[in-house]
Amino acid sequence: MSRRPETVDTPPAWRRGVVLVLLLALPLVLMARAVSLQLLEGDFLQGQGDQRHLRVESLPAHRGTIHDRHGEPLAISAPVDSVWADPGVTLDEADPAQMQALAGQLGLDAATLRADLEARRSREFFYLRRHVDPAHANDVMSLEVPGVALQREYRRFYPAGEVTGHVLGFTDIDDRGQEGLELAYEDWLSGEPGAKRVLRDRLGRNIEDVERLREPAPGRDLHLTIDKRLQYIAYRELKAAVERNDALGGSLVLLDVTTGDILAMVNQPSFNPNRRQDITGGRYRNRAVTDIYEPGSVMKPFTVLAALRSGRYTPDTPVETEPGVMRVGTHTVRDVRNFGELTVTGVLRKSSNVGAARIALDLEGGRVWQVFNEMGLGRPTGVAFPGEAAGFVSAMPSERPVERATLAFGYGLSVTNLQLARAYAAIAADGMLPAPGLLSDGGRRSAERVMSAEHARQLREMLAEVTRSGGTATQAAIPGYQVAGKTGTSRKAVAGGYADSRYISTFAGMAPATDPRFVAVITIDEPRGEDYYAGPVAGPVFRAVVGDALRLYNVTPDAPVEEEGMTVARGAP
Amino acid sequence: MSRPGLLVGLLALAVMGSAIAVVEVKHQSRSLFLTLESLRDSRDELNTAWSRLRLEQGALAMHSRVERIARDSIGLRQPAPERTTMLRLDVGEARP
Repeated sequence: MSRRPETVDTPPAWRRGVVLVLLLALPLVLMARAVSLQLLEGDFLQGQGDQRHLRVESLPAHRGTIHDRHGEPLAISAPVDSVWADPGVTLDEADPAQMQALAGQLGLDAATLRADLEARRSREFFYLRRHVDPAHANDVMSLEVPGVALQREYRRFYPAGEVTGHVLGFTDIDDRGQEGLELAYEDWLSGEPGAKRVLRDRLGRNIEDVERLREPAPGRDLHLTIDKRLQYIAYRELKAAVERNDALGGSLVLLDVTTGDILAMVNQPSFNPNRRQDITGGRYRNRAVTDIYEPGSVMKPFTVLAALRSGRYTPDTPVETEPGVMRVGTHTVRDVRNFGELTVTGVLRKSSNVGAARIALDLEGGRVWQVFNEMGLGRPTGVAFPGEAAGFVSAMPSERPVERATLAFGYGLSVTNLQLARAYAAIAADGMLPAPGLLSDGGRRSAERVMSAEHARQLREMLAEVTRSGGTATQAAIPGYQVAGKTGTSRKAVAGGYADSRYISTFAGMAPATDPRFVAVITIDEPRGEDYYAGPVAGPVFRAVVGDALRLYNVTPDAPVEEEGMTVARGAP
Repeated sequence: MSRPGLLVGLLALAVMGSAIAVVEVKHQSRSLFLTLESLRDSRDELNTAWSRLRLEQGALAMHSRVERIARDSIGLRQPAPERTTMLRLDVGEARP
């Protein structure tokens, strides 16, 4: 047995006190630390944590669809996926086999991919490949490469391709309108992207959606006045005509007479908005609206209108054009040949420059100029198309006889195809100048009276002669219908005067002549084939396009049908 | 038991109850959120399919394609005027 000590060394009381105080102080320290973390530094630390794991992701909004007048889609936004990577994470965590597979799926070389990522190591976001179709994107994701993720985006598709290219324009890779209506109505079409807050792990995968900050607001749809069927026919015929005549380009506008709706608007050369590499070198210009040219003889009906207004001319008033050449100041006005004595109708039918000049010089100065101005030439048409040209008409009527004479047959001013179509629509619509439009917003656009209904009717009767035997545009005649129109073959202005063998051939016309439904203007730029006169060059396009339009819209034939060899059956309704 | 003691006890019970309710509601909200997300996913998938189908329809209904088939495969053509019969309905004239 051990010897029990007699006395136990009782530690001094203060030691117990110290231990007690120390032990009690420990939780206090812990609490103080907790207070400091939770209350004092809490916000800062929370912020730091969120910065590492909370991300705001944007939710792409759907761009509005563009429809034609019958509701057929012309531009659709379809969802696609873009593959992106966090370069640092991918480089550090992906094994070589995964990199190889990823590069293979993306159609890249593994070394290039690695170099691209290496160059952007300090960034957190790098697009590997944009706009992949969702099925392919799933294949990429099934590789489970660290740091690689998808982002939903929308890509614009144009089912009609080249046919509607110029009118619609196109969008860039971020789905913003760049040209045409896509640009003009960008604010209307584009949606407001939404945002959500997500929690991401170290490898960039979304673990949890924390909250929706903003729901995406999809863009609104646009309904056009374009008729896809007519647009296609117009495209096909214009393209064929440009090829047949070996021309530089061309454009066509087809208007509904009563409403001013633009039913078709096509140009050559064209581009396919679905293939971005096509979009080069001015191919995307909507020539019908942006390009101006000197119209030439197609302006003669308006010169005749000025004559009718004076009250001194009727369609049957004789006009002497003998000997087919006329000197005005230093300038010589020529006809194709000597037509002898014509009537006012004959001046239009034969397209006599001398006749038109003689009428204009006989009228009070400025009358022709005034008519041109009233037809809306030299002013934008209000169609709200980006890059619309205003054309040119001199600010003041010229006093010089040369200019008065040349203005009478369409030189010394420049117009766009759309302006010309609109001016002809006034003749077609009994004198009401319509406001052309591309949007079928239901509301009728205002029309403005620019000539009396009687003068419009007289002009149509005179212009109907142009497509009959002996006129300049027999090629524009449509079986079963009467066609009123006028040709124009103008020389192109070049530096220092007019080019010798470079022409712009135009045909402007309407059908049926007795109660017009459609107005079309066709321009062929520099036909270099055998023909350059507007009749054989542009006339057949009018016949094909407007002929089909009349058939598709069930317009009653107004020509004596027996002449065309049709059978007529009568019956009670 | 004194009245304040009873009150404290009741409040403690209420706190416990509310805590359990919070857990329960949180769980419900999570599962609802999951359902919502999966519905959103299927909506996106349907949207994708729909726009793909619309594009496919657009490609198949391309006028150039329809015209080619009509002309070449079926041999359709526009009738010449000689083969056209105009039907005129004499409105107001021949009413029985």
